[in-house]
Amino acid sequence: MMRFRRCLAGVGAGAVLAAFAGVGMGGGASASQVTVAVNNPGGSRTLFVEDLLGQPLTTLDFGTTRAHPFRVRVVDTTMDRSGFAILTSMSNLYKVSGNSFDFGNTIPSGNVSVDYPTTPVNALSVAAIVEPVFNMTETVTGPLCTALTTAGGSCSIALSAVNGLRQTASLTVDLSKLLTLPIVPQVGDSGSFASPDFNGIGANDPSKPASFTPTTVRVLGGGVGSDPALLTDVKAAVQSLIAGSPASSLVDSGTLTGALRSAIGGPVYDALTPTEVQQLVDGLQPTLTDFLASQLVAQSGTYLSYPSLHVNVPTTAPAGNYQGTLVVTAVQL
Amino acid sequence: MVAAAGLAAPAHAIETAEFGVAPTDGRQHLKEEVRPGRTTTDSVRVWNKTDHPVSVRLSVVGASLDGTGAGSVRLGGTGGAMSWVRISQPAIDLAPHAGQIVSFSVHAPRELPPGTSTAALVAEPILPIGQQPAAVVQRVAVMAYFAAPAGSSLTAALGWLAWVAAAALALVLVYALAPVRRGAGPRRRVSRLATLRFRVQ
Repeated sequence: MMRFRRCLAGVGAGAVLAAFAGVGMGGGASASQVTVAVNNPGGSRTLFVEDLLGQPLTTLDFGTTRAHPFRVRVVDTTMDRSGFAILTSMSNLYKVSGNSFDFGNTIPSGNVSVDYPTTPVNALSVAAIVEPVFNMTETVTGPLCTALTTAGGSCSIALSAVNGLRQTASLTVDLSKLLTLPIVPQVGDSGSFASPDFNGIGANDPSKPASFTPTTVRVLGGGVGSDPALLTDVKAAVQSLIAGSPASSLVDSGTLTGALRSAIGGPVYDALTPTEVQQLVDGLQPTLTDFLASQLVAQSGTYLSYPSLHVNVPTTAPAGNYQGTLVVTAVQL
Repeated sequence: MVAAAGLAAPAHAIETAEFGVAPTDGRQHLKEEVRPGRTTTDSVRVWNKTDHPVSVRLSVVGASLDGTGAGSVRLGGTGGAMSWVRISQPAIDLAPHAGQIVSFSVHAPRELPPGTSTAALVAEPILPIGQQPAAVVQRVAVMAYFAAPAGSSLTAALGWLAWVAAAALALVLVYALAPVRRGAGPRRRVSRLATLRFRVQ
């Protein structure tokens, strides 16, 4: 009887566990798509790993200097305001044996390290993609003023906070003031690859563990710029870009006439002829307002880093040619 | 689960010279709103930029932001949200200038950690069979962020079936484990619950 009761207890406990598991599975059966609405300027961010001549890096020849400098280039094309990191990991270096590798003779990845020259990063062709906002004024004279006053309006017109068309403004790059760029290039980290990657050549290493976490060394980063001077610089660049441009070329026509109608009043606006409305539009003097961070919607630019790989060959390593694989990962943050 | 897609201008794309990946629907990030014990699905778009076929492997790796500033991220490890994600098609063959949408599911655990959990969805090229391993492998990765909706519970609520089962287990355990009086006569339970059992009978 006791045995039966113990068995019953076990069955009961199992039923409870199954019930709990069933709750989890029931929850898992209901899937839903998550969508997030964003203001999407589109664009891309492209990684290039190159030699110092700008050719794609396909081999790692440390030569007699036992060093191998290369170039990491990231190109933003109307890319959204998000950061990035370029991470590297390294396999062990394996001794070449004919057409294959001698996986018994290696130079550990920990003997490979990264450092940088005195100018480790650079930025080129940086531009800000912005959505400017304008205030506009106009003092109307002559027959048009008469038409306005006859309709009950004023000859002094002021439009505030009119959303302008998207503009791309080139920014001056000063390497001593990288913080004022839309994407702030960040110098990579120095260090060695203590734990190897098993990608590439290392994938066939018989001692490859089931799971591994290679040491990653960041060779270039990009953070979203938030320095107040950035917005000042952007405003100056946009002002230079649009200098002398009529309001009608800076603002969508529907937006502009809507703002004008709102400013002078619907009845006054409706009393004007299309020609008179066009005269008013042509006479508007736009003034760029100060930028908010949210108006800087994207950026273009090229960011460069010049890491150099160094290998410390152990004295015990047999003579020969060793090869390994460098893994470069561009992470969109 | 996987649908062919044209090569329209990608949005928020991270690319190599050969291929790229981006969240679908023009989103900037993979930000997943997860609920404990529930499954969410989402997708990314992968495309071939070249005029020759490209094969790409998709995987999920642990990723952590170290908090020292933008651009500071560590890849690797088996912890975090990495184990929550299942990719519908880990290896895809892309025709020249073609793209595919690849879905993945996120199975959130019944106990969610507080805050935002992260992982990275990595795309890397697959070499053609017989080709020598590359000296340089270029990969791209998109960070994925997982968090419960603000103010919501981090623990999955038990359903009514679980509560009934728990009550049944309690009764069964009491019945089975209660001490018995051994003697010459019929066995009699001495616990109050055992007495209750007799009355119920």
